[in-house]
Amino acid sequence: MTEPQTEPQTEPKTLPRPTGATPSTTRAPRGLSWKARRRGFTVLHRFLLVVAMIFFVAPFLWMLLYSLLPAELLQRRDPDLDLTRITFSEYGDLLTDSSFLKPMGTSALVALLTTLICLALGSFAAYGIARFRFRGRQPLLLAMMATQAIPVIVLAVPLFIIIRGMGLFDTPWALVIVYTATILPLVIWMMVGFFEAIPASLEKAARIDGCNRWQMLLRIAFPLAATGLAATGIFAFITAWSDFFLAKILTASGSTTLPVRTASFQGLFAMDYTAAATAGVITSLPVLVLTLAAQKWIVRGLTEGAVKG
Amino acid sequence: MSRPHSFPTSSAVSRRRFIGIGGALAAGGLLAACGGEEPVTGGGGDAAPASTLGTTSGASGSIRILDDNTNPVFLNGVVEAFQNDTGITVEYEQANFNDLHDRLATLFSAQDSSYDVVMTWAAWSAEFGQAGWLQALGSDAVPTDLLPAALDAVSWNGTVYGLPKFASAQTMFYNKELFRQAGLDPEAPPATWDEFVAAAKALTTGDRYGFTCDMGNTDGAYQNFVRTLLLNGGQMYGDDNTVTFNDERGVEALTKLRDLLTVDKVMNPSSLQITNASDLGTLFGAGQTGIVFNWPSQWAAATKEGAVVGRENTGNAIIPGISVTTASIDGSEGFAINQFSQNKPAALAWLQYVTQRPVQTRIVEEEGWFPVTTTLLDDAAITETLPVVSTYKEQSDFEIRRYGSPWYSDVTQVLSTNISRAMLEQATPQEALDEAAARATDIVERYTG
Repeated sequence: MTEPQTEPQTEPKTLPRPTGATPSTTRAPRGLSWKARRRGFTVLHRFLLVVAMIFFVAPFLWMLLYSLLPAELLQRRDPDLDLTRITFSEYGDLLTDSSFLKPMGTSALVALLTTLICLALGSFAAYGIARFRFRGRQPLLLAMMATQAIPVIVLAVPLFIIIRGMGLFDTPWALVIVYTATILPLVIWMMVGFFEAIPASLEKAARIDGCNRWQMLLRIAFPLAATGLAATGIFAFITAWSDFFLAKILTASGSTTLPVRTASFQGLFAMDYTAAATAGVITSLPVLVLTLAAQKWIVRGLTEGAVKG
Repeated sequence: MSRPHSFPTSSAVSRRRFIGIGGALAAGGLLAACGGEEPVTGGGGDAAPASTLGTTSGASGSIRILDDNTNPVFLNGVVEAFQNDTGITVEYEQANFNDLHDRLATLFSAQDSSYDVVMTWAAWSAEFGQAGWLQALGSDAVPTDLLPAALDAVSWNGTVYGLPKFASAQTMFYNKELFRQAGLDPEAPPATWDEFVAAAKALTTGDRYGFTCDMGNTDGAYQNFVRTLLLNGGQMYGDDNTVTFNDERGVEALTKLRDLLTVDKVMNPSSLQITNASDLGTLFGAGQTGIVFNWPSQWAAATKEGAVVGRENTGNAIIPGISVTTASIDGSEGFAINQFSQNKPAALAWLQYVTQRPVQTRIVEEEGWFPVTTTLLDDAAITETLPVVSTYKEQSDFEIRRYGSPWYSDVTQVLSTNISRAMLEQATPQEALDEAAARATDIVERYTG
């Protein structure tokens, strides 16, 4: 694999720049040095990053505070952030409550199975599409992407009828099947990019060395596409783990998932803010941990897939 | 009912509407193709159901019920008592109210008969009833002494689609101790809007507002406006569902509501963020505001152990009117029968059982809701159990509305967005209501053809 192109590491030699002079652009303020301009852009860039980070992180931090502090402190006109009153009691309550643990287990089961099935089916399918030229290859890829354009709400009733007909309503298997069906096309699409990024010459060399197609796949292609597999797997897991709408439609009390259970803390006349926030933190933790742990893989994998696909 | 939602948006096609229309079309198509047990109507126009369900003797078998989680009393003995009394086996399931609409729309669209009885309220009775998904009831199946507002919550366009399980309406709660501190007579609550504003001003101090409400979400903003509109003698719709809430009375009502915040400065600014009745109840129970207009559960919140206000200092009265004596907004809930149910007689037996004295008494005593019949409302024993009932009785002599309709959700969004604009002084009340009325007119026309 080759690394994606980034910014040039050296200045172009064909553009000599007099000391202290600005580059040949008329937009730069007169008298401002190139270094000063660059420093200004860096400061602005970092400032925007901090603003963006606050924008995205602040709601999560507020949710975290709600899960740790008594709600009455935060619901005052001037919220009281008395950190000495932090308590983990709600976490203890929820994590010992079977009505919360069961949905947690269901979500984990569904997300893991969906991820495994999507990776198993998706990687083989993607390899085939990436390596073999056959009639209808491009339309097939486009058709798979087209499925992603269909709003899931349109599929709700047909899916319900199918799942009910299969006798799987209110079971985790209903969600595994439906999530696999909805996530798999995107997994294939992503994986095709990763496999196409692997030079075919490597596989040819392996073949010369005596590898058959399976060995080439397992010893050359999959290891080289590991970052892509990781990125795609995390994507599949997060999508299945986070789904709310289909889980609401296709399950009842028997197979409630964590997002649906979390939403139930918001009732018709009342809302248990502390429980909802705690459940929200618990629900987002696996996503957060996975993303942080595999951050490099995700960025690298997605970039490779995007650039070379 | 204060349904928690994110802050109002002005999206033209909501998810709820989308699934509703899609489901109606799907159901209509399927019914046309396959033929139904009974003729039902599609999702548009004013068509009435072709057949109604009347009381039959000897209901038996089993039924499944899908309810929201407002009434623990059903799980705590009522279902068991019903089974013992009737011999009908019941599988009773509770689900979060916020999840129910989409679940029901999907079930109905698929002509699913898993549930025989489903929970309903004013908006769903209209939406699902008009779509032909709820079984219409015959007159002999409906108790004659039902309260009009409670009956309205299970009806649409002259057809009764269910029976109420409890009645609910907002009344005024006030803190008698704060009244005393402000030099007001705690036994003489404000009876007119001007008296209410004066009292709220007297109750407003440096660290407390005299009045608080819950306008922080779509339904909350809608409810607070509609209540004020009714208090000013206005109506949401005229004949043939013509939008009228932007007439002179409507504009005056919204102006008075806004003035509480911006001119009189007696409304807690947090009112624009409070999203449910429980938070409002907690605020009042903690003695942090003088007056609220809230659901009957406010009584329990203010008088429960640990509440600052307590039973002796919780005052309750009808809501002061602007140009009429009083009016209120309805929050009654009920049960309806799934059109595709395979055991409608047994389902009807459940609906009727819930309206009877033993169940109603428990709902009043244990949960603090109002009874659904005038007979029980007149019962001294019930009034003694829940003092708020006597206020409701007085309140129910005047208009109590919710304006449930198939287009309720869409109009609520449009209206609440513009009410918020007016409250935040981003538009005048006239501009805000005119904008809302124009969009609401389009919405109603889409539904009525």
